[in-house]
Amino acid sequence: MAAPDLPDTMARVSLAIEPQGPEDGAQIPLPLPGGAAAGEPQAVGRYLPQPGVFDECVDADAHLRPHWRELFENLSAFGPGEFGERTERARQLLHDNGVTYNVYGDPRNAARAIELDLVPLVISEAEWAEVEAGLIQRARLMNSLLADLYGEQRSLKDGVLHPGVVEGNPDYLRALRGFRAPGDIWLHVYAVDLVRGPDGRWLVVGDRTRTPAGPGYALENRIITSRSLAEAYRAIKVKRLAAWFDRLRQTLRALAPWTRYPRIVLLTPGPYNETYFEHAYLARYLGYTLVEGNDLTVRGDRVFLKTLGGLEPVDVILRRVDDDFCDPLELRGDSPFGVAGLVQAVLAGHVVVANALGSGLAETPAIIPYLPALSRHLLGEELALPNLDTVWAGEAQGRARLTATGGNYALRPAFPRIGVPAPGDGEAWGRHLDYRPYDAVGQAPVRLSTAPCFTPEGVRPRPVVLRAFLTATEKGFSVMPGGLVRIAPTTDRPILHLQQSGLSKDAWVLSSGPVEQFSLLRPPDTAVEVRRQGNNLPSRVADDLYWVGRYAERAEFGVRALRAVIQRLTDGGGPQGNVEIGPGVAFLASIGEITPELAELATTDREAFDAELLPMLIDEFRAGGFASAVRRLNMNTGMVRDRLSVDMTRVLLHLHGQIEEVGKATPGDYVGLLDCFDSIVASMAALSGLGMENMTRGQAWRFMDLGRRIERAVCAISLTRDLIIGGEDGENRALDLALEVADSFMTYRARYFTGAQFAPVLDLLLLDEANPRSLARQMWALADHVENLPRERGAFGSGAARLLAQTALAELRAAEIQRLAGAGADGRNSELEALLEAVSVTLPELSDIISQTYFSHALAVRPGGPIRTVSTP
Amino acid sequence: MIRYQARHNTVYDYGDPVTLSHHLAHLKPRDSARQRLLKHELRVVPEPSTWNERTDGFGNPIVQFAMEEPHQRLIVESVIEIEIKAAKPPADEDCPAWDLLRARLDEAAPDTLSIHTFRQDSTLVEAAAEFADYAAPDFTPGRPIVAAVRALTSRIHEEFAFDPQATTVTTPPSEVLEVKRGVCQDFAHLMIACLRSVGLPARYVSGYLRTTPPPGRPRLVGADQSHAWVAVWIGGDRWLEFDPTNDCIPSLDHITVAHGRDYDDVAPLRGIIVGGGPHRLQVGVDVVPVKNEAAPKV
Repeated sequence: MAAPDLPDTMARVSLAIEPQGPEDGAQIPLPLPGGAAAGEPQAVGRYLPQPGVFDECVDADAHLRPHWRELFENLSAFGPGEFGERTERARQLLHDNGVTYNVYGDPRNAARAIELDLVPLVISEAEWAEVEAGLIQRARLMNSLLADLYGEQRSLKDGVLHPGVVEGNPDYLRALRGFRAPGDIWLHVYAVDLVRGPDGRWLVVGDRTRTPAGPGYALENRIITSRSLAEAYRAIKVKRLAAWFDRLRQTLRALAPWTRYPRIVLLTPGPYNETYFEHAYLARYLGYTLVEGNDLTVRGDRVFLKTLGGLEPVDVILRRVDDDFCDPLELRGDSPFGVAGLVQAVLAGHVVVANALGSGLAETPAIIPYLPALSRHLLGEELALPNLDTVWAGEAQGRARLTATGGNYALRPAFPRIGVPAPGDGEAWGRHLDYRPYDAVGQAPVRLSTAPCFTPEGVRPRPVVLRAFLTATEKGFSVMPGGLVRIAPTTDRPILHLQQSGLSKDAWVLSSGPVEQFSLLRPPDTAVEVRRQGNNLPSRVADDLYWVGRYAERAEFGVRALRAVIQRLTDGGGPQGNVEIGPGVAFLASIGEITPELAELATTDREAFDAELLPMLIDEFRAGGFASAVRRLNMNTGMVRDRLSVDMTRVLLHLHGQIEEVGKATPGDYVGLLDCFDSIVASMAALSGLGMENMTRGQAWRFMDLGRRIERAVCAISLTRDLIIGGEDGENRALDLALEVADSFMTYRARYFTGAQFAPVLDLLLLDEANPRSLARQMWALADHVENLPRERGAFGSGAARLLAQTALAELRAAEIQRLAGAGADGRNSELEALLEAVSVTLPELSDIISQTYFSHALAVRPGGPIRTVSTP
Repeated sequence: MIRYQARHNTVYDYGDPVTLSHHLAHLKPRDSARQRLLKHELRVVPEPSTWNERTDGFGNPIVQFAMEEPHQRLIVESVIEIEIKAAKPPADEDCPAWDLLRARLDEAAPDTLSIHTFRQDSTLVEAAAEFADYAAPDFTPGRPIVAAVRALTSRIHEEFAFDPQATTVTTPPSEVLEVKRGVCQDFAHLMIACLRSVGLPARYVSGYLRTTPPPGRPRLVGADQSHAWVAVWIGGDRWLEFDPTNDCIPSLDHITVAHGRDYDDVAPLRGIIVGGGPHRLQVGVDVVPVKNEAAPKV
């Protein structure tokens, strides 16, 4: 019973209804390969919507809905297995782009990859127009409600809204009472979670007014889906998303009419936030500086960004920090994410925060039951988009209704609060409701609609929830055509938080008119001014990059040292190999790679040494070891993710796996261990290569390289002390080892054609500025960096740093190798020791001056200790 | 009626220079039916670079100020002159029953709008079954609200020991209930938790006590420092104060500075500073009656 309106391609796979077991219903093979060979009927995915559930692509009579036809016509051209391959490639692309969603409660706080289903949810133009109108009305309603609640409170005075919904809401910021949002815009971004019930109507299950998450994920989904299904995306007229983001940009720009070029920043709680990926992604896409609370400071009721060049005024803050966390002075005192004095700056009108501070108030589902009445009251209109039936237990009537449903309604927290039972935990809620009924909201059960999703078994119907996004514009609210579609684990409960499902897909809204070809990356009309200098680097970012440089170098040095010493434990250590074992393990202990106790064991009890070595090497919480350096490297790169290339992120991901390999080596199998070290050294080299060759020589690069040079200089000094001087009378000298750790063996060979000797090795590793690993080379580079640091910051710091670097360099240049190598009557190389001492004192001083001069603005802010109300008898 | 002069001095000594500091002060007393502010001076050293006076979300006057110059000592000196009237607590039988009031709030009658603020959870005080259980013996059905709350006040005073070592500024009321010790702030929070847990609105009141008692009367606990007590809604727009630390209804000896939902809303001086290192804090409060004729005209 093929439907007459089916395209030819559908006929090929014979649309049919076959009775099928207990889940009897429409079984429609869709033309998407399920993994088996082509041509066989079984190879075609069996699409079997559940009875009593609305399916997005197939109607109750098992006919493909007309607006899906074009998509399937295009997809049916795929060969067998091709869809699976494309899905795999898309997944890889997401992984490589680092698209993640941090899951709270994960012991390692690991970021979980967002997974993408490539089959888009297709929505017809006519249907979308209706949803769009409803969404716009709802946005107007929420916006007016916020203006009312922070202003006149007509809705409360006239008894339309229960005061408990407002007064008991932690997002109600009393400090903002009487505040009028600039342009009366409270919601610059607003999101609505929609589901479709069995009768085909879209229902609202929740609102996001605080800091709506998801537009960035929606965009990323669109970019990858349109690339993976390029033929279909080109052939089908799908409404584009870019224009929506441009409207958001225009709205934010217009918020600061006092300046032609407003500085707009995106305020994030930091890399441990669940949606940090999106913050970095949106900041990059919209062209805003990504900042944390400590990057900003309030001076004289104005907000400034702390940059290397000094304080720069900030006009607009697009925030991803929750309302009550935005100002530790006036709001939550324990917030580490906010900016002290921000409320005052907002009240003074010198900065605009989007969404407006306090707008989280409208996010509570406890408000939903009142929306129809509020719509009549505030807008004089009937609410167009229906709500999923929602009841608030804070009101006697609501409690009675909840009781009447006999536990049928799913309970969820009304307000973001600690100590509230989890959604759906009926037993815990039962007790909780007795004394804190206002914490609970009940929602009617609904069977979610299903849409086709690609699974290993073929294309299958899966329940979906759509998050739609709006932005305010001069002409009212504008809806993103499409949104983020989440795939729910079960059909009977809508998912409300991103944590609940990592699987999402794109939504394609069809268009009959021409499609806007617009890209934010290349705006059509505005000419970009040619610039050589990027925007001024925030101090915190410079700080983080400096430590990226230091830890990368520290890790590389450590693993090179380990490799060279372990090499000597095997028989392949060369003629000097055995002699160098003692100094080598002592050196490892001296630089902290292993403990002194373990170093002792290397020469006395090799078996015990082998047993303890591996766990010690991979212990990332043991200070000094390379694993700990890599952990800190990862932490620091995590905080400047928007500044590092995708390639660097990949190397770091890879490095993580390589360290795990070290832990899996067999104790005593030095050859296997050396293989691991070889690959880690290669990764570290790739990282430094990417830094040298692929980063523009701007401030970001300079601070990263500064860190690397300082650390390498520190390492060169300990190498010289431990392995080249090697104690009194050079009894622990290990020159070959020193050359190997400093990667200078080849140069030495080519230059001297002899075994390693004291003076030439000293010259190569200490004084030779042509050797990229020598101490003199590091001091030369440091002097150059310091010379080129930003000067606006007051001459003192940069002047002192210049003096230090230049003096150390001059001392190295003035040194004569014969005098340095010559031992005094006491057998000590006192001149050499004095030189090393002079330079080694300079390095921490230099590091401190740089920190104080350039990073000091990023000093942690802490509460000044509230006065306790205490009294004595 | 009695007229007082009160001084409230705060001195922070920091180990390292503070390079930037933002402060929020609840030090200017609010007017009420029981008191009228005659004069208020707030002196801050070093000179603040910004100074904003406004009212907070509860109608308390606040000052927000910042210092951008490095400093190692912060002095905040508040001097007030104020007129206090005696409290006139209504007779028990003139008050509605506590459960009647609770029912009125459930209906959300428009005239109870501003009351709801103090019935819901706040930053430091959250309702819980354990508090409702503790309060239950005093809140028998139909009992007039003033009688019920007075009984609760006395019971807290009897059963809890005053002990500054037992708690810190962040000790939650649940812990105070367990150890049965604490200071005025703890007793106020505990009592608020009990009242809200049985469904009644309660305010946290911060203020001062007269330092030296009138002849023949004992010195009150909590003089020389900021003090804290509780106000309970007794219907209409009337609130009645109770001091669980001294088991009394605050009257001529109590000066109100501010009220909020809990300490966090009305802390006398809050600050966020950059730098500073370890700090030492000295606070002193001195409240003396002044003769009417000595007071300057306002």
